[in-house]
Amino acid sequence: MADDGVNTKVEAVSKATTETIELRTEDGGVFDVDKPVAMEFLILKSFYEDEGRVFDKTSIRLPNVKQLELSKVIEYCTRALEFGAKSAAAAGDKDAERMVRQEREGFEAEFVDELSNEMLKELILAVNFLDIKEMLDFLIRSVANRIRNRSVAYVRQFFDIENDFTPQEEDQIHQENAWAFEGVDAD
Amino acid sequence: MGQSTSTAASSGRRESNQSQLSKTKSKSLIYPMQIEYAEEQQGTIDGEPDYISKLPDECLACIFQSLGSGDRKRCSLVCRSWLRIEGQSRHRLSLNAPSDLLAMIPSIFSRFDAVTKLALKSDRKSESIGDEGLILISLKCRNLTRLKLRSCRGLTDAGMEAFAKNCKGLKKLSCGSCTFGAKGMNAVLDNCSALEELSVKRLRGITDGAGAAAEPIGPGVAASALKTICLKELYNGQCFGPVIIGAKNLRTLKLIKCSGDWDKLLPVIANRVTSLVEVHLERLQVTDLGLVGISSCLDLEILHLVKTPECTNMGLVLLAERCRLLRKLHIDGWKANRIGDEGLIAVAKGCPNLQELVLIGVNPTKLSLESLASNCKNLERLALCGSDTVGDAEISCIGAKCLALKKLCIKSCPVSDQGLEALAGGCPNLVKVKLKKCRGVTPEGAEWLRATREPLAVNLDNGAAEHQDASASDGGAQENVVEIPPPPPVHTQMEAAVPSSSTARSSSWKSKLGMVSILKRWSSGNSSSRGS
Repeated sequence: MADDGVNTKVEAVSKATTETIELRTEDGGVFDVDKPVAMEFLILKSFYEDEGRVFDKTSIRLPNVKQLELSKVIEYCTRALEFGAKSAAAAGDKDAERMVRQEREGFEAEFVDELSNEMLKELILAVNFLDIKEMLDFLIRSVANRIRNRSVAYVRQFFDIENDFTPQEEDQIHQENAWAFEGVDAD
Repeated sequence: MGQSTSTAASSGRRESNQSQLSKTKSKSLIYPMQIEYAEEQQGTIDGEPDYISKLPDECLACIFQSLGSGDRKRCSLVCRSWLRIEGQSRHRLSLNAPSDLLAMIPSIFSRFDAVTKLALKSDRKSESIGDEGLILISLKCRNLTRLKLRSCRGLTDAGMEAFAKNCKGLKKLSCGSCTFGAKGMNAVLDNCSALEELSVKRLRGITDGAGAAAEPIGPGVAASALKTICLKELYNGQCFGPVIIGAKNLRTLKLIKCSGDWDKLLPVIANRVTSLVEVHLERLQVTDLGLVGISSCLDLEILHLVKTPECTNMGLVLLAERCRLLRKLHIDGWKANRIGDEGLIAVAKGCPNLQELVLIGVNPTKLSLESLASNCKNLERLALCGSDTVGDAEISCIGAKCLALKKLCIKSCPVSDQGLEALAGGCPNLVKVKLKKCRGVTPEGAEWLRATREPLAVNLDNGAAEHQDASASDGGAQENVVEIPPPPPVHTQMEAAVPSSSTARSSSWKSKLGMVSILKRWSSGNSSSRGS
């Protein structure tokens, strides 16, 4: 994608003047990200905190991330922080807590619905690289949902994987698998 | 090879990614990070120019962990690296265990090399895995924390002993329909010092021969770690006495359909195991003496008394006076009418913390319901099943007085739509109502209640299907069930004959007083001998 100066300003969680950091993606996207959101990316957090650097308006280049993914990541993390704040504010009030939970579930359902399989995979790679635990857990659950109860062939196609078993190996695996019964196992 | 990596800390993830990468030779991530401060104050998180082209192993392992056994099997067939990762990240495995499992053990357990929770299930028709197989498994799964055995009749004491010596970290053992005996059980207790939970059902090897006493079981080194003991359908369950009594930190004790007299053992247990907070007694030969014995557990919070018709109001009254911390009480009176208003009123007065009350085959009237409602300010969950005395008047009493109630279940009671009207105007905190097999309640009535009390969830089920009642007993019918003989007409430890259910109310005052004085003497005698 050509560098047409895509520049996204992300609203801060609090309305006070928040420091931002500039992130540049591999394909030329430029994002001004609020510090609280950026610090959710542990790769950045440790970059600053572990290395003892001063958080100034440095522009950081992320070679493994494209702009489409980064914008999705920023969207999710910003909302996640908002929900976190709302949850904290609602603490103790069961009805309010439930409302925040439902709102969050609604957002997450919509968010993931809009993602193609390809995008979901790309996001996992990006989020794993950026090291954002909460979002990674969410994406992983979403992928699991998409391959649940699907055939082996479907799963291979989903992940674009080639079957590298010999027929004999497949037979042996089938044989071993037959010994395992469907765990009803609630311990 | 090797144990699967944890997915917890982010730094852990990075390191393990790195080590995984050296094994799998895929593209590496950015390590270390470099920053170049150019004049324009630009920084770079440096790295290889290419993406990782496939998902990192740890992400895959996390995906598998969100899937069930069937899906995991399918994933193992996708490709070689998935087979490896799925196998290494599989901690829980349930295997069919006939005798020919033996030949598969080496390959299965080199594929699944990180199993900590294992179930082996055979059936009564075929020969099960034997000692050799179990020992082989125990050598491959040294870190086993949980073992579940079902119908593994090929296992003997020797096999259990060898297993226990190899898997000393065992935390939970559950065995059902096995045939080893006290020696094997003792071997587990003597080797597995971290054992927290012991569940035994139908252990054939502890049946005594003609009149011979069964070998005692316990306490063993496991005694101080044990938190839960559950015994079901055992002859000679009393031989577990030593391990129960020796379990100084035991919190939960469940005795279900175990034959023999428990009146003697229960008081001893209650006196010595002061940490008990949960006790289930179901289909046991236990009378008020045993019940009063249990009342020495002053910290008791949860009590299930299911189908123990020799436990009467008297025992419950005395228990309620002592067990003030009772939170959950389930009583299945088996329609024997031995427990009713009198006992429940005592519970109401003695146990202000009561949160959950389930009454099956018990006939409370407004007297006790009112008392419960006014005294138990935290009563949140109430279930009344098979009560001939719970009708619309009782429901309206509940509605008017049970202010903390959140969940209400009424089953097979003479309640009608009118009762629902009363409910609509009461129980301000009600979240869910279940009405099952109440012939007087119509779908229209339920719909009306739903509409009137939105967002109250109203579940109406008049279906013919037999529903499980809220008792603690097994669901399906069991063949070869240990049948407790019906209560004898005269109990030797009591002054007066225990009246049969139909004449429960006609027993004379004198015999009642005599009973109470025996029980009181006995329970206070117990308390003075405590604290040694």
